[in-house]
Amino acid sequence: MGSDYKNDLDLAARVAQGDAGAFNDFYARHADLVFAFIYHLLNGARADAEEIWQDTFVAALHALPGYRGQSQLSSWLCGIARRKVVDFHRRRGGTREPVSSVPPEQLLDLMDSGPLPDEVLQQGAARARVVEALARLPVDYRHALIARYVDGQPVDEVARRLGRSYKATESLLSRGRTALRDLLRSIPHESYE
Amino acid sequence: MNDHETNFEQNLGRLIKASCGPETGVSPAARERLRRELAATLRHRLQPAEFPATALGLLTALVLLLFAAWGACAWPGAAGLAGRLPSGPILALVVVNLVGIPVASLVIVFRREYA
Repeated sequence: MGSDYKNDLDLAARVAQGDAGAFNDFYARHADLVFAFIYHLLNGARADAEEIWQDTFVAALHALPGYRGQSQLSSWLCGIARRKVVDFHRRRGGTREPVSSVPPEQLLDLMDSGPLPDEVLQQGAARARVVEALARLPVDYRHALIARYVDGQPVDEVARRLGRSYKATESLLSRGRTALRDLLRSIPHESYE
Repeated sequence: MNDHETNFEQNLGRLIKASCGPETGVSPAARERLRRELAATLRHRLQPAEFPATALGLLTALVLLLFAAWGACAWPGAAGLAGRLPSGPILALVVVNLVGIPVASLVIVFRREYA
């Protein structure tokens, strides 16, 4: 996966042209990340999240010919998902639960200073922010970080999976963490209030 | 790696795992539903020219009516020359049925195919 397309724009164009293989890759690459984003934005309301997830992808498929590669495809999808969630809350008319979220600088300070408190770790807004930041990362950084921290693979296994040397993978992970840190800081706090 | 980096890395790992871990997995039923929905959407969107079947049917009917009208006007002269050929309106009706029914069937078939 990943070597067949020059970039996200190429993948999007091939999906829009009806290429079945590209469509399967598009789905496989982005479906889980987008669902996680919606799931956290809705504080774990699974049934609603699944409904919005479906609406998001259908809307994305219609909008795909207009994608110009200005952002990562996953980030573009998160943007659509965010609008769907806002629409969902609007339709519900004020039933939205208040979301307490830690501002980015405070979150990074907490992450630097010691074990992250459980109440922060449990926050849907904090988790959604992390997913959105992951969605904005270059694909190789994202794959490396997910293999390392979600799948719990040791660095040598991540290296084997990505077809890189141990040193190159360590470097990739380090750059990925730094990039993620920058992205966590740059995503506006208002998005999660 | 200093303590500062260690804390950040450990917390980042915990946050990433909490954010994308198994808890956020989609149910197989929802996954299958979405896959079907997307495949149908893609097929529908790729329908040639996106021309509505109803409009196509109306256009076909209009063309056939014009053809019938032309037949009704033009045929009596030719029929009169030949002597035994059917009159214009009858011939037009035959042609409308011969052409109209297959075209209408095709419209229905294509509409179902791309719905």
